Amino acid sequence: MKCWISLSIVSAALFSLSVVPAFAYPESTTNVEPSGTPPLCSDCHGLESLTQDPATVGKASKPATWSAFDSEAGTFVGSRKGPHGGYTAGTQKCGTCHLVHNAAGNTALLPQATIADTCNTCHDGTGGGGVYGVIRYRSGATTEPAGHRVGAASLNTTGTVTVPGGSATSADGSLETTFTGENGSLTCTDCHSPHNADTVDPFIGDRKRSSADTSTQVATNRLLRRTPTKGTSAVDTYGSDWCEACHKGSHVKSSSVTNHSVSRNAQGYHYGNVVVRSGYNSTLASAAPSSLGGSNFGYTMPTETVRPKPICQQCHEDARSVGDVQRFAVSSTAESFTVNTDGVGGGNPQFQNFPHETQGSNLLIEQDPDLCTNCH
Amino acid sequence: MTDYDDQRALPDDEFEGDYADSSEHHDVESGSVSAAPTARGFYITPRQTFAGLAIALAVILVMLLGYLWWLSRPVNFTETGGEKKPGVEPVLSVYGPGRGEVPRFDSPMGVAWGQDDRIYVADTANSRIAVFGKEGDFLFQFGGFGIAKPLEGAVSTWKPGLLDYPTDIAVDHKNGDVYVADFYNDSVSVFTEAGKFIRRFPDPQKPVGRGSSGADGKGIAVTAVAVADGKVYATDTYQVFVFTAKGTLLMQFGMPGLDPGQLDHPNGLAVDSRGRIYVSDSNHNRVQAFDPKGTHLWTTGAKVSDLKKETDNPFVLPRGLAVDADGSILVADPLGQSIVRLSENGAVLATYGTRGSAAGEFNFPNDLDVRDGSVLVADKENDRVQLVKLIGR
Repeated sequence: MKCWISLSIVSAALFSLSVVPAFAYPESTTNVEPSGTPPLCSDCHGLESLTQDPATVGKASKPATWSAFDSEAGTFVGSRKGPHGGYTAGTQKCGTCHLVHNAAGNTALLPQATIADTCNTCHDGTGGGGVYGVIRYRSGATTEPAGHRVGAASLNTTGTVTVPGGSATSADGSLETTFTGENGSLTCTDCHSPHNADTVDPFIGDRKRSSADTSTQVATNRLLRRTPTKGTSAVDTYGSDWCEACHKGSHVKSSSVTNHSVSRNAQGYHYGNVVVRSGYNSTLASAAPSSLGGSNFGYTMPTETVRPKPICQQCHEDARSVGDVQRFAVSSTAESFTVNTDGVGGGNPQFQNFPHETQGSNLLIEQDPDLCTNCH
Repeated sequence: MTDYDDQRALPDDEFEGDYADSSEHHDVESGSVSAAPTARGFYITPRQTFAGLAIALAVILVMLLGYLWWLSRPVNFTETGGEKKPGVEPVLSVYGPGRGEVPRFDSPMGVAWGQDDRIYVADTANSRIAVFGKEGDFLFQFGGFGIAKPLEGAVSTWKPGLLDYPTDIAVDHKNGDVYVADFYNDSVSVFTEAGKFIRRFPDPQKPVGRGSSGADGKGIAVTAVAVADGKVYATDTYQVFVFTAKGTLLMQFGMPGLDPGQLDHPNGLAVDSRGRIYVSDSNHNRVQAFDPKGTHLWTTGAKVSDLKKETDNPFVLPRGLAVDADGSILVADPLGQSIVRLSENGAVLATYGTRGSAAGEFNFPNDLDVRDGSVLVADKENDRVQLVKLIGR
């Protein structure tokens, strides 16, 4: 009897082994790839757009005066540098950042948990501008600075993201919603397209503003998507309409909040619209560039000439007292590589990071009443 | 008493029903069981039959288990054609001191072997240096958060020895001094091997040489640091700086641009025994080598022409560098989630690692150091430091 029992046990063990080792075999052959050359990422995802001048991607035409070419680096800004581009059509590099097919829960195929980590590899300041963390590390602030927080920091206690001015109907104008980051949090790709696909027109932001040499202006689109996650329609211009993709209630008077009206017809945010304090609605061409160096001297304005309204970015931006925007002069020859100390005052545009984080309340460039008296 | 003896002692009635229809002969009187003779006249008892079957099945079972182990063995260690396939063999992982107010690492970006096989970790987001024994046992820590270059309206909290976002670390193996890339404080801080602050340089409130990248154009926003032959090397946004150990500037080279020798946000630096300087030209997706005078030697990765057109690359974002004993160069690639080995002439020899959180896997590896084949990896987004062996090339 014992022998039979032993024999049965051993036989059962052998039988069970025959059904166990599925994990040890090569992948299932029930879903065989077609023979021949395997498909490439570019077969479906159109990498050809990455090779275009970003000023023309997805657009019928561009203003001829705007340039996205970075003469310093010799490349089109945002299109080729670092991990943002420079891939062949047959590249296998996509898999380093993207989960290929069957990725869980993200339209960009990026593992949700890695989106912010990927961006922060450089944008912690060690590899590029637009950084997060500067206020924490240079002010000692222990609380999260104002700004568009990403990841878990964007979530409130109920697990949603509170968007100020996000609703045109709620009592306080805010909206509780979710984005595409981990657990519904806001993440970088809700606003940015890392590979510059379907992005807004290039523009010149304050951080590239120079009081000393306007010839070095570089327009970039900051890799901003024409249709941010909550946007319902594509917009070409980084102006009020772009902000309203999420802040839909920002121009609406709700029951408890009165928002300043903004222009929704502005040409957008570019250097040609900068005015100086004494020349209401004057353009840069009529103002001395050096007057832009001090606080509150330069403002972006829409080109409307009758009762112009501001655009969002006119009041919600980095602080304006940035001195000379050039961190240090660079030139084409190593020997003349010199520091430009003239005009470098308190603050440095390298470390002003609207709209990522700011020391200003509500992302405002300054506080009332100074803010209001700039125009009124 | 053997099993056999035990069975022989069983009562007769236990056998009757079981063997009534068998060909075996039952000797009821004696209570024993006899076996049928074989053709050669040998007799095999039923117990011997079962024992043989059991042994055979056991052998098959062992063979199957061995086969299963072979199928499920770590693929990283597969040997093909007599050569080992590149892979990562995990040795140990360290997640932090495990004690005190901050027991865990937060985004460690730099790592270095120290004297007596100590492990020095730049625990970046915690602005401290943590030191461990070779078995991963926590020894002590130093540094702490102090701001030398505050934003307008903020207050300087820096005191000697405090750090602000240390991004890299290097040890002078001649005396054990520790050099820390104090990124937001725009300088290199120097400590004894026991963590006592010695000095910092350059002055974060003064321009450096012909230009530097610190806030307001003063000091250098140090991204990487290396020590060799009494000299200290550091990178900033576009340049390589060479100092004496005391902090006197000897040389600087590099500038923005695409040509050989020009740099864009270098984040890795190593120097070999001949004084060759290897730089991760991170945002150009390439590694460049220079002679001790800063003359460009070679580039691996994107070529100048390739930066203006489509290309493919061995790197996605090369960062921390280290020179192995055989002269080959190991490169941490945080976006490639891998380590790349280059020959001393820049040829790509092997790529190791995959993304993940298991032992031997990486999640944005930012820096590494190697000694006697033991590779320390600052596994940044896993918030740990790993000690691994790299297999094959």
